[in-house]
Amino acid sequence: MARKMKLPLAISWHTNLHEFGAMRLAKYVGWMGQRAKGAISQICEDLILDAVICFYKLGDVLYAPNEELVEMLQCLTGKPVFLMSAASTPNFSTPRSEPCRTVSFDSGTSAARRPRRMSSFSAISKSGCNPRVYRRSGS
Amino acid sequence: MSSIPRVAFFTDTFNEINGVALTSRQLTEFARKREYPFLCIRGAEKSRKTHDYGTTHIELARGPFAFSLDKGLRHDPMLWRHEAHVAEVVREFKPDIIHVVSPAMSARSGSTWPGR
Repeated sequence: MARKMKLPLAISWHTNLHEFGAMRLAKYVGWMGQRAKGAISQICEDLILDAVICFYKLGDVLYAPNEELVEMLQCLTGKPVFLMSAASTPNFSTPRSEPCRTVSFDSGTSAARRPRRMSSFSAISKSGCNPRVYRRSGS
Repeated sequence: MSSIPRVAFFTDTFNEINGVALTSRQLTEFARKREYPFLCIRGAEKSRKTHDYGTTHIELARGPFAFSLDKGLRHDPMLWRHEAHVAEVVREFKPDIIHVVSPAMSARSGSTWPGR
């Protein structure tokens, strides 16, 4: 719709879908050994992250709930990413007029939205934003 | 474009109890209080259209293929069947920007449906 109507598309990140998907899958393959379960979960997580990143690349501007996700999305999509600060005043801006600021609030704990592997985020910069390296660095 | 952009907002969850739903409600409430032009499109139990000051709510009924994605959150992979209706409503609203919250459910419509 955004493409057809030639409108800017903003996409916000609220859930780590790749981790959620892998976690759900792990429940169904619980009967497997720990090693096989871990490997399947990892493959699933990688595939979902690939798909999610492809989706976020459609956006003209992205929003993320914490600095780590801002950096990750900037790195993996190459799109402008802005922080959705908690309890800040929303300010509707669009990429057409001026740089977007905060577009919404978010709630809940930051930890829930922070990817498990973000602690090793520095590896992304070193890897030149290669998602494969990003994933390996966190395992 | 006017100084207050017209926003078409596509969300997966709104009335449920989770962070995305709360964010969606707060964002919509922000626009409603200020009477900003805002279109909120989301999945729901029943299809309906309501107006609340400058805010228009479009709820799209989830069908028999909907399944539980998480506690209190249902996902309908066939929600795209509302495509024609959604496209018409959005064209009528004439948004300046489209905002989607995730790749799932109704959010897909904002980015991919009419582009097909």
